[in-house]
Amino acid sequence: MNAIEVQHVAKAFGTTKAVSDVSFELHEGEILGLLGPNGAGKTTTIRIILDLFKPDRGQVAILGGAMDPSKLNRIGYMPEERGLYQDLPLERCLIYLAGLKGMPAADAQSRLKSLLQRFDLAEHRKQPVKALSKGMQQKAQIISTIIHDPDLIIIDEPFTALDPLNTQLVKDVMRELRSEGKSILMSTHQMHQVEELSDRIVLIDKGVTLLYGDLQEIRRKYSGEEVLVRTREALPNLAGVTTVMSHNDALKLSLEPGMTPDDLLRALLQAGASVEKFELAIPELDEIFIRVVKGDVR
Amino acid sequence: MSKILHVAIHEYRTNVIKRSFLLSLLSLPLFLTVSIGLGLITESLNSSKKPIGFVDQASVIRSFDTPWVDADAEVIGILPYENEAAADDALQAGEIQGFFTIPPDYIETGDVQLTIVDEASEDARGLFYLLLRYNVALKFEPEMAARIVSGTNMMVQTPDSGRSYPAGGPPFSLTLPLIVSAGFVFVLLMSSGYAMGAVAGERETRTMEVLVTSIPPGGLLRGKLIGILGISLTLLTCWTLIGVIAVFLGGRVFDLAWLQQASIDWRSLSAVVMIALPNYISALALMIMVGSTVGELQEGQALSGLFLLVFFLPIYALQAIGDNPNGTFSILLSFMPFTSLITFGIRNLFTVIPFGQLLATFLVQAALSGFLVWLAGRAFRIGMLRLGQRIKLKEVFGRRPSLEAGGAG
Repeated sequence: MNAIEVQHVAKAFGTTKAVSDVSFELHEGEILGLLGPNGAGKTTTIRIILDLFKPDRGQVAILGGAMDPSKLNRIGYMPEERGLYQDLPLERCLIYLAGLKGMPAADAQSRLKSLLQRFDLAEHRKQPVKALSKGMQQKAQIISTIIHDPDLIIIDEPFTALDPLNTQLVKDVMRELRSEGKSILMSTHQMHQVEELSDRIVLIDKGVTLLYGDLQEIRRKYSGEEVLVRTREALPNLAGVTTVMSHNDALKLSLEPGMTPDDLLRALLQAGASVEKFELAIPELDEIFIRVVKGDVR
Repeated sequence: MSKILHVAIHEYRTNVIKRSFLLSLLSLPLFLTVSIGLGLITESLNSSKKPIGFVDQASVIRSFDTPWVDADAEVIGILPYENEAAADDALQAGEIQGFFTIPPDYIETGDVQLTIVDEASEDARGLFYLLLRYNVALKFEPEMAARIVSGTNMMVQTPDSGRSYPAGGPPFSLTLPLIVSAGFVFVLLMSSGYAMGAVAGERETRTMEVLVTSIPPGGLLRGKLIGILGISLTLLTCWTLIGVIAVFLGGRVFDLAWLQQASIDWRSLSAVVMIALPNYISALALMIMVGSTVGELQEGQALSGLFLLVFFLPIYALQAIGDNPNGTFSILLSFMPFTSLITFGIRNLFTVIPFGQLLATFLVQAALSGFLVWLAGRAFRIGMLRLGQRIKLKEVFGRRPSLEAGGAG
């Protein structure tokens, strides 16, 4: 059973099309990265999944069917527009939110105690939320998302305001949740975090799915257009190479459409070059993101 | 525990455990206590029971009878002195609180002179003036003289012959519904503030999106309303208890005649409650609508301030309502949303409001409250995710709001 199934969903607000055609699935026990530039339709898509907006077209299934109130307790959601009760003490705020997820107060207390320790917030539990730093509030928001042990976690920009130490902590927590079989839909702009954490990605822009699938496959698919080459002597002039850029101990060569790495290697050997290194440049996710969103490739 | 109850308890606790709530709770009784207390203090300062003296140079005082005073009432002593020197000695010795000198030409001029060290109480002065008037009138039969002194027991009849009460003012039973109306208005205004704050605040602090993915929007709204209703009931219960204690103390301990005769006109009181309930719901609904459509909490507070003025319009029209409690203007104010509550309290002082009119007003208010609740629910659903944005009213009234959320369930 998939945790989320989104099929050809569309939603317009007046004359503005927020989402035109988005489809993807979140499998059980995986982390799916939801990517897209600002205004791509990510938040609207998430709100449609959570039944906060009704789609104009398309189908959404969540935890095996249509959304109903009984499923709310099995979902943890951290929206982009985060908010905790600023005047309430941290502990009271989080216990209230856990109660809204159907947790009895005693269970919430005991679970909160361990989470506060894990996130290094135990000593701040009596402080009003507004007295906490942005990073601490971010961690508190993450606690409120997972305190009730949800099966499905939808989390928007989880690493905002976190220092490297806390970023690592949150990544560890997310990996643990995945290993426990939780399904996570993670929306973020931080590509290196997606590369590190996500099993698969879905990239949307202008309300349309542009890329969807296994992260490694996508990276392999977009490789072949660039090659890393190191030669003993200066690189000869080669036809079919558009740009040459220095890249660590080698040169990164971009190939013209139609030119393959095999063609390049042959051309190099024919030119008498002594090739020390020749490998396909696997593009970083942010490169793919930029290229796809700019419309250079699909 | 159900989620609705969970929200209600949170709403209640969050608002009640606040210094501002305690101030609100105490404000009305405190205001009344200070007002009544000042009155009592003034009264006690003016109620010295020491005798008052007089020097009668006109030979007017021939009788010390006071037939206009109840036989069992405590009467301040009135002591005659031969001359001003003797009276002054008594005054300096503290035997009397002052003395009057009635000059020889009193009958022609009506002048008397009061000599005091500090102050002579109003009771003492009043008693002496009446005694003087009684003695002047004694050229008639004593009964006639007593009538002249007692004056006339006038009963005020309201223009439509609906109510009558002594010249001293309406009795407690008729005033109580007006006090209750005012109390309801206070509760209603405070609760409206809480309702507006609960919605606008959560939109401003961005908590709303988390909440509506934990509990369906309808349930969230119901929970908030139950919590606010709890706050209102707390206020009403406290104020009622304080009121009962005040009436008891005023009547039994401080011997205030107005409170000693306190009784309850259940018909009028029920009428006020009947009108107050839909008004309460309407006010809350309107404030939820405001809270759901404004961009910031502060903007909502400014709007609700304007809303307060409407409630107090009937106070400004008190004279007009009193002059013609069953006139078109009065009836119109009774039907108008938010002015009806105080208008009913005022009209009730002057007239017996026909049951048909009461029922019609209730139905109008109930229908309006139903409509406003529907509209508030719509505004809430549209505005709940438009964080920090102002919602146009045409979107709320429009057939297809551009950003209406579905909500699980």
